[in-house]
Amino acid sequence: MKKEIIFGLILICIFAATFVNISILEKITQELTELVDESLRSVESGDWENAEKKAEEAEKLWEKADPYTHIFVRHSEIDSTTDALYDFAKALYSREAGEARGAHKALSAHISSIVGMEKVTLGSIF
Amino acid sequence: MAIVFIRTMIIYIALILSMRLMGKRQLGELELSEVVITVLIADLASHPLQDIGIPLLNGLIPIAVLMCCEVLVAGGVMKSIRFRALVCGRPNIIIRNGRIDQREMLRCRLCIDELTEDLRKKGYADISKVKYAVLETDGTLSVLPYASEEPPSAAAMKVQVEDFSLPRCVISDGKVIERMLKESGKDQKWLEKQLKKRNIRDPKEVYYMTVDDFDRIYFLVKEEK
Repeated sequence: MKKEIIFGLILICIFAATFVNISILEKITQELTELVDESLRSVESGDWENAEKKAEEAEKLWEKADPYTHIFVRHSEIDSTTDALYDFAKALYSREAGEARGAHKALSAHISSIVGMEKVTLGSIF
Repeated sequence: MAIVFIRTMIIYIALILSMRLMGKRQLGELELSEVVITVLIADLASHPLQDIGIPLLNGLIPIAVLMCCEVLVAGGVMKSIRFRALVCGRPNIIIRNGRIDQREMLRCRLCIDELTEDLRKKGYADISKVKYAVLETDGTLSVLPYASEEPPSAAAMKVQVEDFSLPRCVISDGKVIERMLKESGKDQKWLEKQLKKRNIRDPKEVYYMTVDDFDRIYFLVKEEK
């Protein structure tokens, strides 16, 4: 019975850990989204320097989260988000508002898909 | 390549550990739930090994979850008869008093050719000599012949036979197994004496040596390479 209790507890711990993982990923992606959204708002108001600063902060945040994301997120997802982040930064450096808007949209979609894939919904299960 | 190597090592250790924790039965006859777990684990383990873009945890977590489920199911099977019947099913009597139960055959999706093949494998070519044949929950067929068809036992023939005792390996490939030596109530001195009797100076010269409860010794010297 002791063995069953231990394995039952391990099972509960794994289940709980999956939700902790979702909340950590939510926190990372939320912070990332806030930074890139703020960057786009600066683009709209013509403050390119602040837009670049916020994009760089987003890059740093994404790099800082790398040890965690590499363990828990599919590497292809990480790579495509990183690429989207650099595309956004490229658009900002070239001062192309239209391109920045498009790159921001693609980046937002990639960021939301990271958490979307992990979230427990009927769609994600089936 | 190094990543693949490390991942393979991790998955291998995880598989060995999980199979070990699930018990020895996994290695032999498998119940339905055990077959499911074994097939699933083998498949799950292969994906992160083939694709290094998949986090290793994607393979390890399902293995850990399956292992926990298997231990819980095995615990439930041990404790509850109803649960056991639900998970493992019940044995089906295919032959009763020499007659094949055709309904049971249909229920078990067992055709006559498979049944006769299994019976032949057990040494019964004539169905009428079989009193009971039971399809066990692990898919094996147990055959119980009529008493008149069974080979006579020593007790039935009133013959005195020496009892059996499990031999313990005390030297394996030149290495003395202290635990076995102790278990059989012997010590190093006894071993040295036995070796001396056989003109052996060092246990390293012995390939295999066993001793049973009746002090019967099996002894094999290592061949020269």
